[in-house]
Amino acid sequence: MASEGIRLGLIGAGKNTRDRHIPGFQKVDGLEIAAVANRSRGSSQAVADQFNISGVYDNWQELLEDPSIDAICIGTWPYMHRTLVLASLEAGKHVLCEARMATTAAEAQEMLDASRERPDLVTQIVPSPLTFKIDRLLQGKIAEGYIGDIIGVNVQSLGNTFMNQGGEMHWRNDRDLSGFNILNMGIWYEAMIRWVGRATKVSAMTSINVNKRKDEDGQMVDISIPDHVNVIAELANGAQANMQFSAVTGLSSGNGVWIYGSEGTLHVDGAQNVYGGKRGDDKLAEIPNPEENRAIWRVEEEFCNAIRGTEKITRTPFEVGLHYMEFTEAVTRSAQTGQTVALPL
Amino acid sequence: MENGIIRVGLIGAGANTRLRHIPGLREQEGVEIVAVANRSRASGEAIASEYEIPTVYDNWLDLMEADDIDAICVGTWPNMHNTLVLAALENNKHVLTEARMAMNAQEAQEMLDASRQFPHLITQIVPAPQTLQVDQTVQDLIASGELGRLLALRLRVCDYHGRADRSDTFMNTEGPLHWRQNRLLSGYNIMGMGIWYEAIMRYVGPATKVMAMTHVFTNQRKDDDGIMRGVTIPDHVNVLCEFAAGVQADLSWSTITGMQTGSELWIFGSEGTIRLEGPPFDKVWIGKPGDTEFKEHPIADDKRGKWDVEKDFINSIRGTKPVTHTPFDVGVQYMEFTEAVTRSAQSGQTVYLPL
Repeated sequence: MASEGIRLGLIGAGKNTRDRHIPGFQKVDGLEIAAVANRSRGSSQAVADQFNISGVYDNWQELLEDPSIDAICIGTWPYMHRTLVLASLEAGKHVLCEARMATTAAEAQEMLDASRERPDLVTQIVPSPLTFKIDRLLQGKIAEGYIGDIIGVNVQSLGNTFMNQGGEMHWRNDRDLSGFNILNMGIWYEAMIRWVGRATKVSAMTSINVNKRKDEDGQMVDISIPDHVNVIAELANGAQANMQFSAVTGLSSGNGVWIYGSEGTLHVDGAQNVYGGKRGDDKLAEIPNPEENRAIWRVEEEFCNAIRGTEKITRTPFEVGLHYMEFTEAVTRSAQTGQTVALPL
Repeated sequence: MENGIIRVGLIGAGANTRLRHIPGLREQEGVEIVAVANRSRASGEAIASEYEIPTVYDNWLDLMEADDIDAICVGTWPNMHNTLVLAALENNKHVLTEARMAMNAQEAQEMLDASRQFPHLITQIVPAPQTLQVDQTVQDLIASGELGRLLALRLRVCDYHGRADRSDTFMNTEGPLHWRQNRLLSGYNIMGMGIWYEAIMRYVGPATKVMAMTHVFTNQRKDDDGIMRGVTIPDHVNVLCEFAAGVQADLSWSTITGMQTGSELWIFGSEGTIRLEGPPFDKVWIGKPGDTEFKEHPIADDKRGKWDVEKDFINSIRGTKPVTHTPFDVGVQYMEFTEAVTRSAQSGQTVYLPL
């Protein structure tokens, strides 16, 4: 196939697929978006018309049975990721799967296991893009010893609007569609492990403040996915981390990261400016982040290069997806049981 | 009490006793500081001559037995608070004890139990002072419903107690072993955790569940004799808790977070958020739905609290007001929280309060 074109099929064509993946794939030479299967034939046809996609299937099974399709892009909600990834691999197709990887750690493990049975096929999870701009800068500073040994980490992702009772039900609020995923915890953890590595122990408390929402049929539905999460964790590197995620913290200070070392401190503000200070400095100073040092969104290009054998998947392989799904599940289990949960599960 | 004069004896005369309690007691009418017992006769005499205190005792036992003393001010490290408070009560003396109340929750409970056997004697703990200026205003805002339903609380404390040089906020491995880092003197107390919990309880009441992780990064320090000692009191603490009022909190204390100065407390409600920053904690910031930034909420002069510890102690003895800052039952609550943090960090389990 290296010399031939890649024929891609879309299963699920939500917002991220339309805004990101389709334009991204359209820029790749020799790739054709050949088919789409969305929730209904009608919605598939609409996407096909909008983006000039020739093949429209009634459902994902039919699309996967099409022998002319080489690769699949899964853009459904998390509850279908495992089923679709396994089916894609069984059908002999490369697969790029939207984040979050799955609804539970067990599903993520199954997906990883299945990928290892097909080393000839490329598997990729859409990466956490939140910190592309600063990942290399932080990795570089930490690697050069700027902050010494890492001792403390704080990651906060706090909304700044007040609690809004009675809102619409979003798929992220729906346990059946999202599983153990809460707010944007998984993608922040994925970003954090790029800089400071993985957690080995997790303790968490969560709360559900907006506990009812209106579903598509106008029915009030009880919510079981938290809208406020506090996590404390021990990291493999010996540091202790605390993380906060919330949708009910009105006028909060928003997003931010602090990485404390024995010799220096790094801080990322809500606009992803990076500041640093070392022992003896008066105060934090902004660290320049040259354009060429910043990673950019190239998910679709990376996927196609990997299929052609010219690049290895780094953003994001299934192993890393499993890490964040284990963390995600550990948070819920710890909050449910009141016990510290050790990782890996 | 003779002719309405309250005669106070000092046991332990450290920095807070010299800087706060001696001047504070001297400002009260009809109060005499009549005696002192410090760690040695020599240090007792040094204090006595500097502050013109007539009698020096060799040790606290002799001071306790003196008939001409009505009230005791305990300024020792926490390791002696339980012993001294119990002895003071048995010797029929009112007692003001320095914070932290005790080494652990059990000692604190014993002190509370003892105080109840002597209802005619006043018992008081030196209160958490850092938020006295804003406490009443925050309490009023919460009580008037300005925040709606309380949802979450966040406290981040950069704690530099016991640091040789507070201007350098990085991990300091060179400093000598401070009594706050010495388990034998401080028990379960960690950094300023107890007094911050005491302050938070004024706003949202006590916690019902505690989960914690702690770390000792500087795990060896030299003691007074130049001997390296292992340190078991954490210098980095993360706590999660649930409060009876439904609030979920994330609390952290550290002495190793370099370039991080000051502390912040946030109280998030469904209809408003309060933010305090300091030290000094002398302003109250509030934000409401629709606001784009916090506004400073004015503090009325008569609502702005201040350090009145010695005045309160004397007034309580004279029967003109009950002890509010801080009674022993509140001290027990913060000691239970303090112990719960260590137990949770040790066991990896949630600890439920009260113990």
